Amino acid sequence: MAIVLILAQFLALQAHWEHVSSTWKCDNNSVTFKVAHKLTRAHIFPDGFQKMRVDLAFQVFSPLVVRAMSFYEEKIEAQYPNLRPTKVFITLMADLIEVMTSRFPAQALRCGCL
Amino acid sequence: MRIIYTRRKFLSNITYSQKFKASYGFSQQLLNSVKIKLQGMDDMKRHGGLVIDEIKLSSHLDMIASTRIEGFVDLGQFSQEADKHTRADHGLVVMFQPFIGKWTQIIGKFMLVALAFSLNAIFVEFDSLGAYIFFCFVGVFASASNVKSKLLTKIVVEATLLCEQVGLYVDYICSDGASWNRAMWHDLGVHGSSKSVECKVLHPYDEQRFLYFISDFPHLVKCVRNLMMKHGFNTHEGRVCNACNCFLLIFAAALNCVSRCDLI
Repeated sequence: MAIVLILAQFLALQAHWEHVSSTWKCDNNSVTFKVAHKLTRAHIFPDGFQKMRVDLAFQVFSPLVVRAMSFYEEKIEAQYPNLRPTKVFITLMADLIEVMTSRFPAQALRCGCL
Repeated sequence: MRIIYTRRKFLSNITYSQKFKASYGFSQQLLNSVKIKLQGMDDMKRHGGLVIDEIKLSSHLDMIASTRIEGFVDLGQFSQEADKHTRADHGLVVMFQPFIGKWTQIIGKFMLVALAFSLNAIFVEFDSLGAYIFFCFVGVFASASNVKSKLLTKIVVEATLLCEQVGLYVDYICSDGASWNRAMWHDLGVHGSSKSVECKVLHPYDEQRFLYFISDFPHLVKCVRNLMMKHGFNTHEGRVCNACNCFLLIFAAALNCVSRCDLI
């Protein structure tokens, strides 16, 4: 029983790319304003050359995407449940990017800052 | 044709590069010019690091103006007899980047030119907006398959020593996390495990300083994105790990849990 519970917990703790792609699909509406206006098709389904582009990867791991996820939370949860771990993961990556691209020591990577 | 024209135009704008004969490996001529150029520069501006990258090229032979055939494996002073008649399919570039200067954009553009046309030395100096912009290619190598890690280690140490000799301060070496680069780190004594992390070694030129090794961060972010598209990550209070490992950990925790329950 405990093992089944923990297995369920294990599945609940996974960050999935499907959450990001469904965020984009919800957002990709030509009538309304976009929440994550920077996300394009190239971010979600990159082809061989777009996979090598760093800027696309950086923009996926941004607070903007997390906000869009919160905005469309219900829609995404209906398609793919357990959105929270993905949000946690993307927030973590966004923080990491901010720390690693800081221009002065006060913002830089330190023990326990993430 | 357009690219060739642009390249000629580009070259004619650079006064320094006209002096250099394009060859592989490290060019003493180039380093001497750097030495002259550095004489009036203060120490702060001389600090920087080496950036290493590899590119896969399609193998191709070409007759150049001086009736020499280009496109074979050429590692400059590191060339071996056995490889002399193999066609090269990789390019390696070692580049010096100073800490001070606005140059990131420029480097990306010129590197492609340099690799595609096997141009060995560019030394450019721009002086716009009051910012001193400067970078140079230390050496270009053509190799068949990847440069072997032992050889790469030699090239890295040699590049560091040559740069230090002409007056540049090499503080870091930045490369992506490819396996041969990792092997190079390992050869030099740089490693990371859960128990100990070592990201620097004593500087080969100066006992007082350290040489730091950096894995290219944007490349890592890109890898995370591509891995996430393929498999997904486990998150547990901010910890990210491989799906398989995490599964084992949780399984171990589950077993632990069961045994504790039994005890109670």
